[in-house]
Amino acid sequence: MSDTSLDTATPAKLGRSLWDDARDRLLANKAAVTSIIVLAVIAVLSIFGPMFLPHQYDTVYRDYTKVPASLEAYPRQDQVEPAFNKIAKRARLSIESYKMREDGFVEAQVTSKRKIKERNAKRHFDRSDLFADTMVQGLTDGGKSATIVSRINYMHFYFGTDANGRDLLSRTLIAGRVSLTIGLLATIVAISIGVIYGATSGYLGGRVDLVMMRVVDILYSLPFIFFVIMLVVFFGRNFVLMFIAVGAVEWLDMARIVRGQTLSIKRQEYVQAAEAMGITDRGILKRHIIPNTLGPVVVYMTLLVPKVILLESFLSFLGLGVQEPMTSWGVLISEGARNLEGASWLLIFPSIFLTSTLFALNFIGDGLRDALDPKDR
Amino acid sequence: MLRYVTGRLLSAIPTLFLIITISFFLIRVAPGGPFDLERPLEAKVMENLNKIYNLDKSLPEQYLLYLKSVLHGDFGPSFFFRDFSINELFAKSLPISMQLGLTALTLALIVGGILGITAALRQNHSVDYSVMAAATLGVTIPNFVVAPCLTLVFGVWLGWLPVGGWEGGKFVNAVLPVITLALPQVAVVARLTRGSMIEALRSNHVRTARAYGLSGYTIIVVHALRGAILPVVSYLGPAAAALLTGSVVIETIFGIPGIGRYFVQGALNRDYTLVMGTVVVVACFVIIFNIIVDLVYALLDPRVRFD
Amino acid sequence: MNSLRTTAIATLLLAATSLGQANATTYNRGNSADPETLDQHKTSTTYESVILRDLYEGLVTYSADGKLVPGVAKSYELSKDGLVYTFHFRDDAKWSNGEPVVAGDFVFSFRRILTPETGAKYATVLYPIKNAEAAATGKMDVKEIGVKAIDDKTLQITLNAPTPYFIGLLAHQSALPVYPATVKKYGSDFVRPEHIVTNGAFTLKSFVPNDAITAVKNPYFHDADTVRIDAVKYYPTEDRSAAMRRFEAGELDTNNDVPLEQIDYLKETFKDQFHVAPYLGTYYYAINTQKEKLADADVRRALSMAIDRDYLAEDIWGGTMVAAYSFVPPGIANYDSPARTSWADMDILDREDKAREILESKGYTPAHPLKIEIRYNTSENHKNTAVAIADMWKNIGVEATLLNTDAKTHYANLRDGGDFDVARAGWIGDYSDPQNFLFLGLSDNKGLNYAKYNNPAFDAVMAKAAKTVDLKERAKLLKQAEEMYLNDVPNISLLYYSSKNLVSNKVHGFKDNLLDVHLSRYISIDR
Repeated sequence: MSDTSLDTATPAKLGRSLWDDARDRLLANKAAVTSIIVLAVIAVLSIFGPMFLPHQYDTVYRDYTKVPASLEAYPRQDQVEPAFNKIAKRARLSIESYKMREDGFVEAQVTSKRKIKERNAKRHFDRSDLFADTMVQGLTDGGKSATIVSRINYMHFYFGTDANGRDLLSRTLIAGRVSLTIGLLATIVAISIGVIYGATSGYLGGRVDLVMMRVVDILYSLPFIFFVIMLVVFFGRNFVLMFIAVGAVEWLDMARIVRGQTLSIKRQEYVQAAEAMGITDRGILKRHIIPNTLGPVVVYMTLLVPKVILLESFLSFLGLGVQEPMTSWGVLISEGARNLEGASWLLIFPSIFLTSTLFALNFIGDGLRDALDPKDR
Repeated sequence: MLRYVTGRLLSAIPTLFLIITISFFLIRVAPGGPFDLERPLEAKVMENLNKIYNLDKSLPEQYLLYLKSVLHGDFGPSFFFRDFSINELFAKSLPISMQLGLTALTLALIVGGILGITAALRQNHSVDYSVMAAATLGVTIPNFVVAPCLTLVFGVWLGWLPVGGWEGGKFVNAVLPVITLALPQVAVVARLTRGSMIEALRSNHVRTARAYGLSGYTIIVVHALRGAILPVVSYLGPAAAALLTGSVVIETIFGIPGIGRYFVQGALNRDYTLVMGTVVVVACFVIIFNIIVDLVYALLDPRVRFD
Repeated sequence: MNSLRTTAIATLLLAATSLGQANATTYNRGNSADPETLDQHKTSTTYESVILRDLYEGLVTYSADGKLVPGVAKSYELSKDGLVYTFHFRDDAKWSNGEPVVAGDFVFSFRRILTPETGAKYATVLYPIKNAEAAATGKMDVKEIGVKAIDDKTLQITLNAPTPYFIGLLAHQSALPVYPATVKKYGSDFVRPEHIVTNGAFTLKSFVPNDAITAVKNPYFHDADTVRIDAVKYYPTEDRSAAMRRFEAGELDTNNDVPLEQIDYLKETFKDQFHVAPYLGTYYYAINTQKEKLADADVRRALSMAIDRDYLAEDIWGGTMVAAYSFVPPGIANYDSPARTSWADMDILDREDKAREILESKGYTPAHPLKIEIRYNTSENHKNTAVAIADMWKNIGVEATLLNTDAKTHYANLRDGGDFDVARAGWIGDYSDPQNFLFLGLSDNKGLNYAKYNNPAFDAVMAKAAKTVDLKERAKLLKQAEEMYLNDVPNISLLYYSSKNLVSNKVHGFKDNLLDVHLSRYISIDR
């Protein structure tokens, strides 16, 4: 880190560094810049958004299970009276007269066979998500008749709600935290291991290569589900384990691809020249081989992120991933897919977030690839 | 080359052995056994079942017995599909998955390759962006969303194609599964082809060839593509192994009797022999495809040599 | 390449045969999963019974509306002490190879299932038969069991003790006969289509795992004239959403499960083609009574009282379940109305107040709340139920967390006395009798008594009921036992199951019933 700060602090450096060049080229790429902004917006929304929303991601609104996404407030006009009747029935009150006042209150004349318990009647109505500030007034007829005044509690569910009546907007945002973290971190882990392993294997070649690649074959063939179940059984659920599980499988393909690239790069003239100059294996790997494999690596990275995000939802199925009430895009989308016909909003909104993220990542990936292309220098 | 292939095949033996050994012990760690049900069995019944399937022996003994039967080409009886042996199950299901996978792979190569080349030739042009956007969409939408959507549209609403079932492999029953299977692969192939094609088009030998005045088409095909296809090939090795051994999601949603479902069914039912069978099948595919990939490498790029 | 060619030939052949039987009616029947085996003596699940009841006929069988009716036996007599049943066979009972069904076939079959080496999972169902338990556990020769052929057409079964639900047991899949000659000849391979001989309305033609099982009409079946279906194809429909779409597209005529997530869509789209009917099962949460914090019955009762079952039934399960206040579901045979928890009719708010009061008296305060982990096997609706219950418990100050695992892990953990607080479970009756539910609470029922409930008084009443011949007296004792059980709350009864079928308008003869049995022989389809 200190090296870089030194670099920028010293203006009298010869020419521009490789990274400066790359950055400028990246910033000149409109698609990439737009994508960076999009990604930043999604990240900021996921991290800070839930704090500013009126609904918590785990608040259950029992009266609003699976309500469709809407810009209008709930309850709808025609929902108020049936809901009021239902509560009155549960509180064992019969309604004599009912009216909705201009000021957003409901006023009803009720009677009961028994004496009306003021506190219970109030609680019944206030418990409902539709009403608040209920008042029981004018108890007459020996306490068997009263007037109930209740404020209609308007709420917005812009993305609709899930099967438990939880706000999908705040759930989608909170899910972004999990998915972005695992998507980016696990991918970086997988790529780092994969690139170093693959490049080493391909460059050293011979018997080392043979053994190293057979290790990859073995890991690739092991039954992944059992690996996950074993982790759950021995270590319980744990966010770090999720990275281990994902990281353990996803670097394998990367290692293969990098190895393949390395095999062809190491025969290039410049590598052979470097070898002749007596540069160490490590130096060659770092300076020549790895930078030249970045093209396919970046492309592959953009494929890895969606894979990792969706793999996480499978881990959740086995009990290793996120647990309720926390959630992730993968989990939301697989739930949404099961509600395709009946409640499409459960699929559409999380998908929009996931797809835009992946789109942004793809364009950033392409931009990075172009920017880092050594032949363009 | 023959010596190389023989050497690689020989090296597959210890690899397979290690895979079998590690897997065999790994799957026994999971809680629950093949005969555990919601309703537990009488101790005596359980004992008898264990005896029938050799589960009453010590783990090392079971392991040796299993190795022995695998050496004889017998993967044992299935614990879950009790009327079938693993060999019978695979004989029915593997060809189906391979057929679907191979079709999807071919489709992905052709369509993805064309898209990738088109995009590369028009780099940063609107054609490039739209092709890549379409390709990205293919990767980002998971197959468990694509499959129900396709069946809903083409099966339920339009009624053009069956929603599910295999019916002995009728063409109409294979259309939607193949498309769903190929879609993400098309995207990957397109992206990889585009990336390396751009690089290859800039390389010295293509520039030289162009300077000599060969027609644009020949340059692309003969020179650029040859170098450009390398990353695609190294991706296709593992991808083909995965595709040919079936997809759980697609086979479950479309009701296809392929081998892909056995991976999950075997694991969730603790059908040890079935899991081991799938492990061996996957391992064989992985090993074979890696050898093929390495050979193709050598053919395409003369600089790569076998050490 | 070879496989491709084979497939092509197979397709041609298939086309040829389907052309040949243009008028044949095939019943495309969705069945929730593939059977583990078609060997009736080794099966244990309801989706296996769907197929086996079509292939075989027991001494008694079910009518279209799920009532017990004569099967191979046209009549029977019961001795006065309630111990000896004598069955008289119908004359036209035949196997699918034309051979008559004789009493000896049943003797062979009962002996086979009760032989330890068979490894029968459900042999316990037949334990009321004299010496059956001893034989199945290897303590006695299987020839000693109380099943005897008087002659070819008369079978005598002797029991250990009077068992009012015994005739019901005989309709269970484990009491279906096998054809002795093929079993002797082929061993466990007798179930293969090329060997199998059945005595039901249909006989097996092919079985491709994860694809379909095909059964064709058995011309020798005694009631073959009334069977309108020529072939039945059972499709394993593990993915319920996919099955719903196949049904919607007309590829399935019926399916015996639905994607519950989509209940509103189902009701709206399929209207009267979507059948919901009471079913013999209870959905409950087992409480680990061995845990210190949950050892107190009052605490467990508080947890139970705070759950609004109507909400679970109506909103979470979309009306496909019924709020439960007893462990034995209503409508069961040999019982009057089930017991009810004392607070069932109380207002939910009063219940919450009471529950909070109980917890406070046990020292649980907002600063020191009761913490509980709910475990469930992964499924969308189990998850939704758990989330809703955790939210209801929040109202009484209980902090609940959720943990899901795959089904095998879940049940292995329950049975091996795993370290759980509260765990989801469900019980579907094997036969219609309260004993089949209440025995879950017996202290020696190691495998199913997940709560590890141990009440000697309960055990004693159950034992007494088992010896009681008089049905009224027995019902009274069982009810007494259930009241004890409910009072101690070893588990929280939440909901009664319903059967959920999708039945096309073209299908006739599909009648809803408590056991959810629908034999294909009663079905007809407009084509």
